[in-house]
Amino acid sequence: MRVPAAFRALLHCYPAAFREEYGGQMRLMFAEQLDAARRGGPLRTAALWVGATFDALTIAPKEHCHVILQDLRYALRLMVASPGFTTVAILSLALGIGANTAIFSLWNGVLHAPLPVVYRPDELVILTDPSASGSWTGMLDGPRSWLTYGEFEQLRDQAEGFSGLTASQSSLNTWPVRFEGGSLEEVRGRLVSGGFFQVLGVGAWVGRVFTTAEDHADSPYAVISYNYWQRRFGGRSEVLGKTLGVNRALLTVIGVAPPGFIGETVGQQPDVWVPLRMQPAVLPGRDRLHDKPPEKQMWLQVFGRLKPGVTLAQADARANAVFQAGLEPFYGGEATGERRRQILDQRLIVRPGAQGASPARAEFSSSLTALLAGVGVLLLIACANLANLLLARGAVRKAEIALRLSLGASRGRIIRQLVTESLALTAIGGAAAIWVSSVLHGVLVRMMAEADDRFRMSFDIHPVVLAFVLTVTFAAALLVGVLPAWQVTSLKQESRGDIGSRGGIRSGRLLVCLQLALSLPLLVSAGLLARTFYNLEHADLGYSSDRLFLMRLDLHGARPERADELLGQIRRTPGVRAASYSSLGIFSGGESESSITVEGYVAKGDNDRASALDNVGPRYFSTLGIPILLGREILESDRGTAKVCVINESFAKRFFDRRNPIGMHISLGSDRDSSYEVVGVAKNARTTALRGDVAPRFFVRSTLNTPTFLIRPATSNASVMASVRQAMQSASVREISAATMAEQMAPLTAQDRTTAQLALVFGSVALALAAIGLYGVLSYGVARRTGEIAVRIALGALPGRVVWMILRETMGGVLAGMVLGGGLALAASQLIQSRLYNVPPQDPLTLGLAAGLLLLTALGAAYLPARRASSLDPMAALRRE
Amino acid sequence: MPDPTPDSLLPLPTAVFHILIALADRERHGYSIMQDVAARTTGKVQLSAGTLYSAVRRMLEQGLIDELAESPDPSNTDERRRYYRLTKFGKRVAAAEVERLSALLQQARATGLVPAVYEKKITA
Repeated sequence: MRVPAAFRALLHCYPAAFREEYGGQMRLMFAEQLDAARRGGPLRTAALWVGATFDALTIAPKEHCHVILQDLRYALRLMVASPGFTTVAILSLALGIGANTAIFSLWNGVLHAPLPVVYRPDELVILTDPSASGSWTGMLDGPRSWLTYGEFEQLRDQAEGFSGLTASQSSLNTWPVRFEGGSLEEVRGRLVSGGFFQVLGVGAWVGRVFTTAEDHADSPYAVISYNYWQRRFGGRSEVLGKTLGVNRALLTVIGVAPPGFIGETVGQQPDVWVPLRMQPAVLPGRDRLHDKPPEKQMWLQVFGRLKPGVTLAQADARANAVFQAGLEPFYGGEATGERRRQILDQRLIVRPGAQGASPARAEFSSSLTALLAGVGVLLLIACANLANLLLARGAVRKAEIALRLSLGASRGRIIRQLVTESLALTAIGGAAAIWVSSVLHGVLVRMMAEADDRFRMSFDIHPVVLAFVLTVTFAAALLVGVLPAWQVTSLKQESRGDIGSRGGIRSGRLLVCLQLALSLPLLVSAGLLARTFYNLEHADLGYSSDRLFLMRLDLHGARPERADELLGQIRRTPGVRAASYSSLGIFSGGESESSITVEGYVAKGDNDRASALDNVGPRYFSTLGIPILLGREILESDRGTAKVCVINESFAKRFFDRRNPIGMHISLGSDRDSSYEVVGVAKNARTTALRGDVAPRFFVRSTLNTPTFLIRPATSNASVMASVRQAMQSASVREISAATMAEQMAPLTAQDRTTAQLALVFGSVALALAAIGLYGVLSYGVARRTGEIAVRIALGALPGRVVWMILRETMGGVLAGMVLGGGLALAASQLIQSRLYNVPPQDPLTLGLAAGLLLLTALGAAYLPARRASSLDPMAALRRE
Repeated sequence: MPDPTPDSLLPLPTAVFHILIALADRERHGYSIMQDVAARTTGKVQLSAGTLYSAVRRMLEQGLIDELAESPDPSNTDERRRYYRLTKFGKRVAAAEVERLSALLQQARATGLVPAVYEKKITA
């Protein structure tokens, strides 16, 4: 009886093992059934075929499940039987995959994920610079980082192509508030336009959100975030209608935003949103809603939602048309000729806004990418190690596998089972990794928040993150399982008694060589980052950072001379050696710049009309210990009509070149009335950034709302600080912040410290894994060659020669790994180049040290098995053989 | 894993019970089982090759049936044909299933669910 080819083809739907067992009988039975059916007519024949096809579709999958379950049960039994191996394997996978997931989740969240909760984020565009945070007052040219309130209103009312536009304060503030007149507490608040929630497409969770009506009348309202509602009010709905006092404003809570909504800026989580129109009352001191020509106050991020069918280029053109049409009437007759042309050349760049604004993106981008690459490499090393472990175990199981092969099990069947085993291992490792990653994510976010105290991000299993975990786990399973499975089943029939020997060792050596190659870039990067951190910690600031206290006070609404009165009081406090104050403070994260006109200096280009500036108190330079190179510093007597300033070296070099600056004048903007006479030149000092060149800066005296007092105690006694704070409290002055210089500087190097620490951890783990791998492979090799080595010793080989023989055989692979690793290390150091400080990426010292460490570790790992081989008792070994 | 008790395998899938019945009087090969089942059910139950051998695979694993080492039928020359027979455990499982079904039938009678005429037919 002939069996139709179609039925043979259908049989291929069943698992190979089932087919091998029952295929012959099924073919026979089908042929007999077909024979009988043909006699019954075409209908019965057709019914038989339908039945056979239906079986292939329903019964074959069940049989596959059965085989998989069988393999899984077997795999689990094996895992339980060797708990040591299982623990090491699962732990290294959980750590490897967990670290990858945590860093991927942050990397994705900060750099790539769209704004959460927002409706159709792909329709959003941003008209300002997404990475800019802060404000600028003055005249500008070229592309705009921020917009003014007036410009936003103009765009909102006139620009076509947008279904809505919204503005928000680019920096996130910490506000002192009182709920229902209670005690003072701090919230993170942001001013936003009325259309904020509408444009982002987000409704209220409780109550209502702002509408465009809030842009047209003073609206003393506030919307709070879901997290803040839960944290501060326990999620009670009575929060609606409560009053919130912020500075001079008394706001009513009208709604709660939905869970997960963070607004327009990634990496920040505001507690409260307040309408922009409330700025004069919420942020008193300056009316930021109205500008007086020629100065503009630029402080807003502006987002828009594109109308259907409108492209980015069209939106850019239409927004710029409205924006530029507004410049001419604003500046009126301001400036002439080339300068006027430049001022009118301001423009917007409309970019995709789906990912929102993010100052953190630029700050953490390079670190996160480098860390992601680092943990990726670590996972590869862990996988190589596991593959080695599995190879060694394959060798242990050679008898079982050989028996199964000779009993007729197909190679595919055994590979399938071995891969199922590694899949089961990695699946458990992957599940554990999710827990590891949520813990690690929290640690990383806290570390990032040290560098940027506004940084907040919650860990959630985003679909992209989940897909990443699954992909990594599956890839790890294949990496870990396939090679050993292939290896232990690949030998020819006659050598099956010796499975996993030579081939196993060769693959093992290759894996170890790869591990060493991958460890070197991690070690070199760790070394470079550690040196960067050390250099930053020991950077020359231009003054001593020892025994320096900083205290920022709130003097809103106080008399102009109040700051000097308080300064006198602080100087009179026992134990205080010197004190002064400044607007920026030291490393506060803020910066202040102004457009300037320098006497006798002709500006060469767009970037040549601005300088950094600070408003300082008397004896600022002598308090800090910054030497005055020329002239004198600002003194108590410089108050009143005589307007004087001190410039730094960079300023003198840039704007005065070889001229003597003393007695020359600097004006703010183009306002000739606000002219300052240069009375001194101070040595360059770092007060805002550790990296980069010291920027040109000039120092003036003016009234300050929130001065930072710089206090030098005579001793390092913290009690001086306590008595100063006490004195300020009794003078009823509100303290905004207080810190020692060491505390103040910690955030500056926090990111570098974190990256260096993580890189060192990764490097050490990689080194340890490589050493274990090398040790394992050599031990196994020595054990296998016991007979050969015993013969050599019996024939008179000295122990030293045996050790040397094994080391020599090993060093080839080690050196090959190091050469490959050296190349990888040079490539990796390019990746982290932007993070380095005072150390070149190809630093020979770091490279040499890392290579030396790796070589020593490899020698150490190789020496132990070599030593064991040399101390063999040849007779006993040969008897065992 | 402990050996299963007969009760733990109940209720039996239809195909399995039919195969047990077919093997009750003598050893059979696959096609013969299929023919016997079809004959006893007047063609209402037609086991396909896939259903039959999937059930056979499971029954062998559960120890309900055995495969004979040699063909009991000297006229059979086809090596691919394999014969199966009921094990003692298989008989116990079949008996347990019969008991379960008759208990079910009694309950149906007691509640009057089974019509009298049908009951007579069965007792006759």
